[in-house]
Amino acid sequence: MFKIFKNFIFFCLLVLFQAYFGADLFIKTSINFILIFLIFTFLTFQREKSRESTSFPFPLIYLIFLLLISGLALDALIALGWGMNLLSLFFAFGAGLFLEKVLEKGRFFSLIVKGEVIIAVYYFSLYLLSGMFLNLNIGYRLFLDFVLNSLFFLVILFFFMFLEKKFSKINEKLFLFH
Amino acid sequence: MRKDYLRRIVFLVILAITIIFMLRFYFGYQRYLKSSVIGVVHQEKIGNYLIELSNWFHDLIYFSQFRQRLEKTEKENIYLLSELLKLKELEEENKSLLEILRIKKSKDWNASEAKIILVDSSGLSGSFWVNKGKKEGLNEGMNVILPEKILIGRLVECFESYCQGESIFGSLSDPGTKLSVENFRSGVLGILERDKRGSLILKLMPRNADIEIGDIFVTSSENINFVRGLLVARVKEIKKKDNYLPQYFLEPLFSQTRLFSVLVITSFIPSNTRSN
Repeated sequence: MFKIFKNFIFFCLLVLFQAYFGADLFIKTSINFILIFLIFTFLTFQREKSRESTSFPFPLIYLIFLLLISGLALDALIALGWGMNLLSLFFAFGAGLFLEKVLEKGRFFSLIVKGEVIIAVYYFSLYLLSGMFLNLNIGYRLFLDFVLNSLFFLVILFFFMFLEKKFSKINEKLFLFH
Repeated sequence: MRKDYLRRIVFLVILAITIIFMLRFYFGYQRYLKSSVIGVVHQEKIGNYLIELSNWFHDLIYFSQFRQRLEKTEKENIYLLSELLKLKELEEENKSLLEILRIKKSKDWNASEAKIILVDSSGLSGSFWVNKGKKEGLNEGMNVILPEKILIGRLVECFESYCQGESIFGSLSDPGTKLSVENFRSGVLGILERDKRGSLILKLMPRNADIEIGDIFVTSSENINFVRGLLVARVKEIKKKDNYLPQYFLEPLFSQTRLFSVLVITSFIPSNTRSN
């Protein structure tokens, strides 16, 4: 429970950070820190779930709660269309949950695949939704965002893996913000 | 085993119902949720502190750019000093141009000062929030400018204490959105659009249009949504190829700086917004 509390505090700080520090009036490629954080939270909880045998899926409910708040914050700040970010996040993490069932657990490569697929589905959903409902021409921009966020995710993942190996004694505590 | 399976199904059903209700609430109370989120994210004291902090980091990151710009400005200053001799001639030319464009020197609109408190963090839409709303007399459709008459965008949605605006360079991502502009020097008219790569280009320009690098474009009277004569962009590059029409690339006038205080033109509300 304390882990979740810590995670939530960090999440709130990150929403503030995203709102004030990534902002620009002129359209440009930027990192979606909230999305990257959600992916790491998802991967961490899934990893914990596979190790613990509790039947009550509290992390899943917590993740849905985080998705709702993230969707709310992103929808309010980005004038793309109400609900587009929320729906894209749900699609993306739905794909993540599906991959969780399909892919091998506890493998580094499957972590990469899950994270990259979530990012890809998120931006692809945004592309489809903005194209269908708003007739927007932002495919190229979304592609650049996808590339930047994918690379950023990989860098962070490798960084955490490096830390984990380096300090293997405190392995569990160090991994992904816990 | 069967109990476990049943429990899982019950849980999934409850979860699905909860999500459906949440989504109904989410889409039903859009306006309320939007203004509440901005209210929570922007607490006056913390917000100001965070804006200052983010500006500090921005300055730190773009330090070398600022230095380059300073050097450029110093060179420009020297050039301008040499141009002082031609001042009288330029003044005359300016007067005649103003006469042609019929732009009054004195502003013919009223403006209210506002502060930008939040900006689109993803950079996808170029939207922003100002700290004044319907209480202060702001309304949808009103133009947002800098004190130097540089056009930033327009207000798209207004709440009691906040208004959401959209930068002109954000709204140009929409293929239906075009901005009619006019060359301040030569009076040539054109349509400003954003291409697929995000560059600002001029459309519908004649082959031998009188446009030079550095020319300033202002809003023309053909726009329904914007006041005429507001500064928009500067010509950055002209690409000329044989047998093709030249391509004009523009750069916005406000992208280089971070924005804090803006003016909202309160005396101009587009007719299509007023009818809504």
